Amino acid sequence: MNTTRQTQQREKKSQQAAVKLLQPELLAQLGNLELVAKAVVEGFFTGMHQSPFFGFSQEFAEYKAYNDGDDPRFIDWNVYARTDRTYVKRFLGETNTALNLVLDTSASMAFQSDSVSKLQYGKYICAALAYLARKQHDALGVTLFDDKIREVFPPASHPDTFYRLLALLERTEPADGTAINDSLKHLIGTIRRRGIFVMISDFYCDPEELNRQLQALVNHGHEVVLFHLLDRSEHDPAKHMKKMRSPSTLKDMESGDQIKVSAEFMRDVYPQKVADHIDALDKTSIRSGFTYVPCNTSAPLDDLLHRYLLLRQQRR
Amino acid sequence: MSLLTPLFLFGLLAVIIPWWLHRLSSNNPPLQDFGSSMFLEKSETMSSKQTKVRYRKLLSLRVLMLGLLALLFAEPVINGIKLPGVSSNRHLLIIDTSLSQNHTTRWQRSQTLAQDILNATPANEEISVISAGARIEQSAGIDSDDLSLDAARTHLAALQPGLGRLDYTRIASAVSSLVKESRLPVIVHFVSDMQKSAMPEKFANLTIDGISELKLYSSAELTDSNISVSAQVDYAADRTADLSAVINNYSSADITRQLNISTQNNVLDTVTVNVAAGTSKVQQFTGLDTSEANGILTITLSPNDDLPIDDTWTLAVPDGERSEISVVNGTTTSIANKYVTAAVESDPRYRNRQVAADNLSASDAGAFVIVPDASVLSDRAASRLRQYISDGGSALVMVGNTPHGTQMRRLLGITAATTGFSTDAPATELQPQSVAKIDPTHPLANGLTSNWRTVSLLRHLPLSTSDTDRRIIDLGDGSPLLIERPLGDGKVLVLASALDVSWNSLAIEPLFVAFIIRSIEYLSGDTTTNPYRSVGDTISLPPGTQIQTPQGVPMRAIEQLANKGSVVLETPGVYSIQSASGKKTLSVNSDPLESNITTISDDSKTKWLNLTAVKATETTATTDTKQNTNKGFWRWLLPLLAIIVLIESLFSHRHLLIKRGA
Repeated sequence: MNTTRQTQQREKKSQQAAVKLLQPELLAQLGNLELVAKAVVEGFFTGMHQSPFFGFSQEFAEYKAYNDGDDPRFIDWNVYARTDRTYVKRFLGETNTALNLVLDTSASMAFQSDSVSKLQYGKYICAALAYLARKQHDALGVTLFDDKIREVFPPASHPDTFYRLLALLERTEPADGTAINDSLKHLIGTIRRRGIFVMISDFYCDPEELNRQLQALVNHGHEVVLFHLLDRSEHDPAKHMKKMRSPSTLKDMESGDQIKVSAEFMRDVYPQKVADHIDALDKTSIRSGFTYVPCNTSAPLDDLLHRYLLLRQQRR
Repeated sequence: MSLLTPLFLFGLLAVIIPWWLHRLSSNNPPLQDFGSSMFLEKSETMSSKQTKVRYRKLLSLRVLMLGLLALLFAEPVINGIKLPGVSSNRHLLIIDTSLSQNHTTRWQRSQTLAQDILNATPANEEISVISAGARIEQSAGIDSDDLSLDAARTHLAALQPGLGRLDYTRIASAVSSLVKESRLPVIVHFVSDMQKSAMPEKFANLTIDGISELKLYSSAELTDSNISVSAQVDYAADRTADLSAVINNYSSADITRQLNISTQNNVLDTVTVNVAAGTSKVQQFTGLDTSEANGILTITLSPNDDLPIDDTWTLAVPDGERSEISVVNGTTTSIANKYVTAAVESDPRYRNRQVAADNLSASDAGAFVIVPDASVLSDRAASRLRQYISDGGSALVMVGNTPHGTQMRRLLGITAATTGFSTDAPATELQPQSVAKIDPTHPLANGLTSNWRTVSLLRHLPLSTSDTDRRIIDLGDGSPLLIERPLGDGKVLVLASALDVSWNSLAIEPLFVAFIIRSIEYLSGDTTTNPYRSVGDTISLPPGTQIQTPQGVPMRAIEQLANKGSVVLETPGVYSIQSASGKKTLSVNSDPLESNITTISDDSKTKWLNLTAVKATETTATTDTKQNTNKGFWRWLLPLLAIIVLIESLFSHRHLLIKRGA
């Protein structure tokens, strides 16, 4: 009894340590995206080792009797112990899938009220998902865009792809404007291989237009995942930024437009507008079969991964 | 904590500047980056009160900085922390111990009042007892550092009224200097019979600096009465004397007293005098035989009253022998010498004694000499004269009418060999000058100014004067006629003309005798001529002069005799003064002002208290500063200011829109 309790306590401590490590501000201190990805993924699995989810493509489907020629590594020895028969696990998508990471690098992604900007947080998500994909030997591609397509790495399974992707992310800086739908229009035409299309952005765009653009991908058999990144101050500026509690002149980081706003507007109206926008995106996603993951850049990354995988599991 | 220069606190007004600037800059809302303007709507509202001041932390730092600067200039000092059981006040219990307090009932009342004050004083507060009579002091044998109540009671029990006079002006000045170093607020309790005669001419002289409160306690009552006597010799020669006695009645009833004139062994005369209430009466006695008096007469009132000390008056009666006045002259046949000799001999108190100039010394010539004609003295005589004066002697010197030697010219400051007028010219051809400017405060000119203006000056010698010289009389052309010049320990009076009718008319003016006699009295410091020397007076004595108490005890040690000195006359009676010029007597009595027991009015007391209260209010800051340890505060403020300046700089650099240089 005592041993069990001690074990539980150890596991609990371990989970707490992992969660602590995954706070965005701590990840920011790591500085190296590979380290960040490892910390996120390994930490996530340390805390979720009993989770039924595992990987992108190698998702368990059924058992099959072992025959000659089958890979003995996939024999389930637990089943063998209980039934005295040899079975091998079979997985969905045994053929490697393609993971297309699409990261918004527009100027608005540079906004931050905490230690991590939206772009930085997006990089962490990219790195973590890429790390997961790499473990499964999935093809990995990345596209960076702002008001146009800036960088495109077509999906590839080469072992170096992961490191090239990380290097690209490391040197990526926020650009000027943004035009998500225009960029998508160009990008969608270039995607040939079916797979998972993960788009990470703050989605300051019309949800319906976004839906129209992405619908084409879904129609082509792609799985679309939207990571909607917002700083917590963008959810409720007056609550999280003292400066917003007084009349302010706000400068759009992309267009440079200046708008004078009252404290009352920022306190009462703006949060509702953002909530409506998120709601619209969510509804659109459900309607169109997208996986929509709203993200707060102050939230731990492993929590985000957990929510994402949970969503995918529910959809399946 | 208190401030030495609180005026600098007006510098705090400067905080308005940063406050205003911070408000000014808030008129334009701060420009801030924002992710996207997609959901923003123009919704400007005018700034509310809350939003008018920007950079509140920075403003606080700047205000703090200015406040500290103002505080630094205001020179704050840390007050000591008052701990339980530690004294918070210092009490000065001043007891009037002047002669009037010998009045039987008054002293008893004063003791009772003082005891009451001690009983009412908290045991943990400092208190010291001061006696105020001829001197203001703590009693001998009392440890002045012991400020406990027990010590104060011991001190009070040891106090006795004295014979001296108390002037309330001295209380004010003495207490002001006593409390100067006090760390605590000082409360002065003054127990006195509140004599009107002790009040100064100007009420402002009663101001006591540096105290927080003055309390007056009167030991006098309206029923108190006193009768006193004083007397003076009107004439004394050939062992007979005339004298006048004054009987003062300070009571509300007419009185009758016996007035006795007596020597040590005999009663010379007795009269009965009636004096109306609140008046005085003068009783004259003539032809008293003083042959057995030994120079001392005693005037007594009988019966005695409650203040018996002033019922007796002691008089020193001159024995008729003339004092010798040393006249320095090279040739006794000089006309100037004749003039001076005649003037000296005209006063029955003095006789002339010719002194050889070459052998001039204090032991031979006495405290002062007269030089009728300096021009006839040799250089050796001039050197001896200079030495004599430098050693503490005094001299009256007439410059003379013939050319001087070098030493004498140097001594007197003669700048020309001859006068401004030709010495060869007949006096009738010269335009006479008269005196133009006189210093009326000098004893030689006081009351004689009109006489000096009648003197006609035909010739004089120009004298050079310095800042230390006192010009007593100047002529119309601005040149000095009579000056007083300090020289070493002594002084010399120089008349810049000769005692010669071809030079001036001084010698034949009635003024001349008065001038010579006044000079003698002034230079000798002749104290015997003052009939009213009082107990507590201090007299100065020239070198070689001894003084004996009424009991015949010498007051100066032998080694002190070579120098000038001063003694305090502490007991009444006849003192004997011996010098090279002979023996004199000096009568010392209680101050007649102390006999006047009339008290000050309640109105005057109130004015006195109010005067001190106003002064106490004016000096509150100073008192507060003194009551504590007065530790300079700037040692802590300066580093604090430096730290705040640094923080302000870093804060500004980090938060201001316009970055400062690193």
